[in-house]
Amino acid sequence: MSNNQSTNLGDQIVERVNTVSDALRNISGVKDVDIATAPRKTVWEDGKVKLYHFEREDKSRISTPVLVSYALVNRWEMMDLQPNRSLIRKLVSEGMDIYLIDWGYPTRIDRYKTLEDYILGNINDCVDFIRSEHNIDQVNLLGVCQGGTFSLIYSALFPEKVKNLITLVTPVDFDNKEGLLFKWAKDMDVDAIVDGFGGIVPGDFLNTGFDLLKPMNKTRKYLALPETMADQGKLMNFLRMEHWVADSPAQAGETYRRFIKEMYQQNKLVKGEFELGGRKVNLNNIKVPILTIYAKEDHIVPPDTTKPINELVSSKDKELMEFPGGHIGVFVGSRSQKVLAPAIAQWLAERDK
Amino acid sequence: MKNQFDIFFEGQKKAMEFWNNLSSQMAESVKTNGHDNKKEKEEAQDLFTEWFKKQQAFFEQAMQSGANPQQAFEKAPEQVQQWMEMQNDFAKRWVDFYRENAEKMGLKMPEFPGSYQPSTFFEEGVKNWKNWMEQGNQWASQQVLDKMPFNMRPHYTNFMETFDFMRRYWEPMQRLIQNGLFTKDMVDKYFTPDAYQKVVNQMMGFRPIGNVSELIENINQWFENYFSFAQQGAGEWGTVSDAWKEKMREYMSKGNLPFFEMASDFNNRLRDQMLPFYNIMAQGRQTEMAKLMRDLQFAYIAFVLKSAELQSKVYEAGQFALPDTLRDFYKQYKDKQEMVDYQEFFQHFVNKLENSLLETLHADDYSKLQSEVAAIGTQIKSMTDKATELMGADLPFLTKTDGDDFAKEVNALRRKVRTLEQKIADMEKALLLASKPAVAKEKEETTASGRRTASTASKKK
Repeated sequence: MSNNQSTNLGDQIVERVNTVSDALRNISGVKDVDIATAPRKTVWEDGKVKLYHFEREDKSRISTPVLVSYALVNRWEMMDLQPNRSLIRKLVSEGMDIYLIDWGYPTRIDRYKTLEDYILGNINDCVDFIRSEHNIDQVNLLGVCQGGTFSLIYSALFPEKVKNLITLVTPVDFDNKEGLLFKWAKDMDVDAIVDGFGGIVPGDFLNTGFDLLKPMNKTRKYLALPETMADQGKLMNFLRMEHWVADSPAQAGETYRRFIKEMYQQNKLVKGEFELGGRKVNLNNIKVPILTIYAKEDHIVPPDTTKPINELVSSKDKELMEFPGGHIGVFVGSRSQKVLAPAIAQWLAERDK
Repeated sequence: MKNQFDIFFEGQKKAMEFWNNLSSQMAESVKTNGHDNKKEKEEAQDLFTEWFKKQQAFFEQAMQSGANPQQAFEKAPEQVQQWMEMQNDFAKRWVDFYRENAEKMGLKMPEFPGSYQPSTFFEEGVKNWKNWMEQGNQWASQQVLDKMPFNMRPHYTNFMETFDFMRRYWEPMQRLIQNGLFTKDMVDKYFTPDAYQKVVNQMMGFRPIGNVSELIENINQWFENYFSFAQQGAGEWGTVSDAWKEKMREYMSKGNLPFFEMASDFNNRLRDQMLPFYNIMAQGRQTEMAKLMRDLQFAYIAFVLKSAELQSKVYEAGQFALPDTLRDFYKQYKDKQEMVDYQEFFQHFVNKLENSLLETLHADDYSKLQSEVAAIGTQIKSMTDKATELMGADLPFLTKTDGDDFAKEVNALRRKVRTLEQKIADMEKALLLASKPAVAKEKEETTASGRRTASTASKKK
């Protein structure tokens, strides 16, 4: 008798039952999907924009506080997805004093909010608040993705207020043919989009674009769901990611219009033609130590769009760090917890004089 | 409506019915034996009776634990393990018994579903458990759906529908794999282009355009109805439009190709030709509305044409993904004589499809077309908003345009306040540098552009 075959079948079916049984139990037990739980206080606000200060029990090892500027696209919570996958918590535990700007959720009242308002207004106000609060002249800036581009612009305009600059998966050279997003943005009729949406570009519109970059990603993710659900940790991680992806803020139309036109379409920052508030932004003005971090398999911000940062600034102390994985893996990957935060901490500690 | 436990028990009941039927057939086989092989007959009956009793006890226990859902889920793996062991044990003993006694007893082969092979015999039972598993999966999916953010649910539902839809074709796909039939023409016979387009639509989130000519007819009809209604109070003014529309109808009925380019061009010409007509009309809300509605009509037709063209490109790009998938698995089947399972097949197909689509998504013409679709789509939205405002202009409500005015004013004021704040800060600094007392340095800062919250209103150092 093909008893072995039967036993194998038996093993298979028992394994599947185990998987489903665990999955059912796990999903039944989910009451709440919580993200961004690192303790924090709101220390400053301006309309919808808030400045958070993350709490720490002891004195920070690195005396100069770090201001994190995330992108306007998507939410900063990716940096604090869950306690064991939280770049924020890890940075705090590595001895840093972390502040973070929450850009909020723009609505129609914000349609005329400009890049000047964000960079010369919000970022500058937050920097000044921290300087004043700590009685210091300079802060450390950590810019993420588009927030990194903002940080570069800010550092070029206000070099006296920045001690060290870290850019994480930050695009600067937008003349890129490899990234689909960069290609599509070049062809985009951004005036029609912004005006058509009545000056406020919905988050779902942006998400559709991101989805199309890897059109079967969601299918693959859902296909693996029974196995994902069988593991409580993986299930919660999956649900948190779903919530983060869904929580996509709209974009203030005028800012979006200008960023697409002058960055993606005209690549003005790299060419030295970009102006903000009547001032020309020259990245060559950046002389502070700079750490540029990019993700090797980043399909949203390909490495080639990031790497030129170190060539464009005139800093003598500059470092380029490659990180394995994709755009999001930088924040939630296990390697991020083990390697990235300690590397940033060490780099800052060495320059914290 | 069934709840998850009904589904759970339905699966169990199905499994039980199968084994019951099988048992009856076996008992019958022993009873109808004309020979007087009492000992064997009793042995067979004992074997069956023992197994059946065990079976009954097992299911009773399963049913009892099923009364408590939590317990049912927790005990399910253990129970299935016991059940599998029971079946294994029984199958082995039954087969041994049959080998030893069949000829002597002159037993007829019971009419099992499928010719009797121990593995088949076992697999039949397993099928029922598989059904239960699938139903359990469905319930679990619903649970996942409930915990997902609302705007992610359509993605998940689309995936589930696609996965289930393609599963319907899994049987013929297996035959194609086994027989090495993977040319596109052959595959199309089993998995039609319509079925393929349905899958792509769901995966890409497309709303299928369907029959373009028909849809344009419907759009025109809808707008004509609107204008007929409007004309009752506005007189005859649509002659130019009518003439052009008639020409368009004639042109389209001839089936000229390339359809999308021609139709799109035609639509644009029509729109441009209409402009002078509106310019010489009297001004006023009614005229503005009429013009806007015509613009909407043309924009919508342009949107339909461009969307259809875009979708066609995507369909075309992925059309060989399924034949290629079948070819890959045929090679595997030929080498190992093992059929891949559906999930692996689906995953492979999805990967193939994505690779094909990405080539198209990277193409220049696709990028431009996508941009046009997005631009026209948002223009339609904007025009619809404007039309709504015009229609409701006499009503005492604030419009989006009013809201925009507020937004503009607020932003301008905010900027002015910020500039003033910065000027004050510069003055303070200058005063400090000049060794004069700082102004209001110790007071709590509360400004229009930024304020400290109470929780951290500590004094400056």
